[in-house]
Amino acid sequence: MIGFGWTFYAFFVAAAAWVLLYNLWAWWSANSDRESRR
Amino acid sequence: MITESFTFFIVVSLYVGIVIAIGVWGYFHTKTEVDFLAAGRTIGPWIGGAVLTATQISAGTFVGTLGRHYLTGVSWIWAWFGVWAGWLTSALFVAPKLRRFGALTVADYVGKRFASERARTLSAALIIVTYTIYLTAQFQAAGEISMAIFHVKPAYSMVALIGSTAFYTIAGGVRSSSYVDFLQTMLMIVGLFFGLPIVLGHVGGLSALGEYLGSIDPRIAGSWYSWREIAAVAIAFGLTLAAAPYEMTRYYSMRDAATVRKAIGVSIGCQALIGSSVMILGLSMRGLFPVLPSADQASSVLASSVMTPLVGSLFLVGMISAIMSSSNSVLIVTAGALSHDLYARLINRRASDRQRLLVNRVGVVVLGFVPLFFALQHFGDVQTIVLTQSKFIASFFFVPVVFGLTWRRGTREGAIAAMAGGFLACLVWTLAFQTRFAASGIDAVEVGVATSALMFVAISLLTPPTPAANLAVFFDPPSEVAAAAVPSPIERG
Repeated sequence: MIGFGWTFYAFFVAAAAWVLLYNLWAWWSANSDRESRR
Repeated sequence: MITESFTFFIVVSLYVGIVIAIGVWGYFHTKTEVDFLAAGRTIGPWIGGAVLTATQISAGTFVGTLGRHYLTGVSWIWAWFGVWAGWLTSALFVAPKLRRFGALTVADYVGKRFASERARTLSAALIIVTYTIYLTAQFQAAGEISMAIFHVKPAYSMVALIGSTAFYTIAGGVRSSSYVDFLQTMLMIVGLFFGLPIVLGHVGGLSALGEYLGSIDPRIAGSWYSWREIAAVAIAFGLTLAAAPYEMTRYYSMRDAATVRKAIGVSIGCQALIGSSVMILGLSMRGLFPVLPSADQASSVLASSVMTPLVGSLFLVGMISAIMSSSNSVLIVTAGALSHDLYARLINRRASDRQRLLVNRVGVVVLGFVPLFFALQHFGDVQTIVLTQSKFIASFFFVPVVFGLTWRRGTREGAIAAMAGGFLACLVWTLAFQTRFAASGIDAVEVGVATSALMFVAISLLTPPTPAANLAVFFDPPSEVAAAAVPSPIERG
């Protein structure tokens, strides 16, 4: 029997990586903005 | 029947009661146009993230995307990366500059950046036309749900949707809409969170589902669409999201540019949760009900026949929330374009704050009822209509917004040509060539954006540059702009 292909599982890994990396950048850049204003 | 259960009655009553209470609260906190269109610029990252999610997640997701997964399986899920690439583009190039500009409508940006009332008027008119298509999809989805679950004529549910959405939009504008959006995002996530285990229990788990779907058609568990087809859809969504007026308007309501970037991150997280859940639910429905009369009915049948009364009620309210929140955001943008950009600029330039607010509220009702007629014609499935409007928005707005915020040399003539040319190219390609050239894989959105970009660059280079004073807020460092805005001691007298 053939189940879900690799693309099904790959999506979850890729989505988690995207969410994590984006949020790290957004919150880091907000902190650096605040420090540069001081 | 879920609709006859006491639980459903309690959940819906609670939901409606809270929405009405927020609407009334918003009414007493909305005194000016800035309050109505930008919530006094007080929204933080968590509420802001929920607002962007509620705006983005619509009937297109709960009815259209779920139906698309039901019909075609897994591969549609990769279109989300186009959506998130659009958000990233917006966070990098659009949101910080727009928030710093701090206007009220998207057409405000066009008017200021290109120093042109004509460009402003054209953008406002195109936004109203294109978003009428978008609202048509939302109303059609409401009709599908009401037919499948309540056995009520679509027209009645559409009128109920317009009435309830218009109520809290009119009452409190963006302020109450933002808190209702937060509630709606939470409801969508809670409905999906509790619904998933129940549905997976029915199909015997993910592995069993994958094996069963693979035995029906291997493309459902693997790749139904080619990468070229998915890329075309992802590009359409990405280009639209990068310059989506209904999201851009919400940036204005947040505290500052850093808040907008954080809110986009919160929103992408929520979208990933919702998108993954919707895929699994769509696939599960194919496993449970292989032959439904319409793919758009998968979500309604799921809520009414598969889930328990409490979870089904939560899921149903989540679905209604998705439709209401997107309709509400679109109404804010279109009514804002009508009152702020057309009425106050072309008809009554001396309009008071009170008059603008009144036109805004009347606009919400009028522009809410226009798509009703189109929704009753049933031009196509919900996902197709959402995709069509995405292509038009991207074709006329991506270039003036993203190129306009990154290339100083863009001019008013270039912007007008880009908007008109992109819109017409997308229209002509959709009506005359889309089917004929489908095999070549060239999509209307690619033709529209390419035409718009070519016209913007070529005509801008042939016409005089935009005055430096108009460009300063978008291109000069924030400190210089702030210094220029403060009058010198001599000027102060």
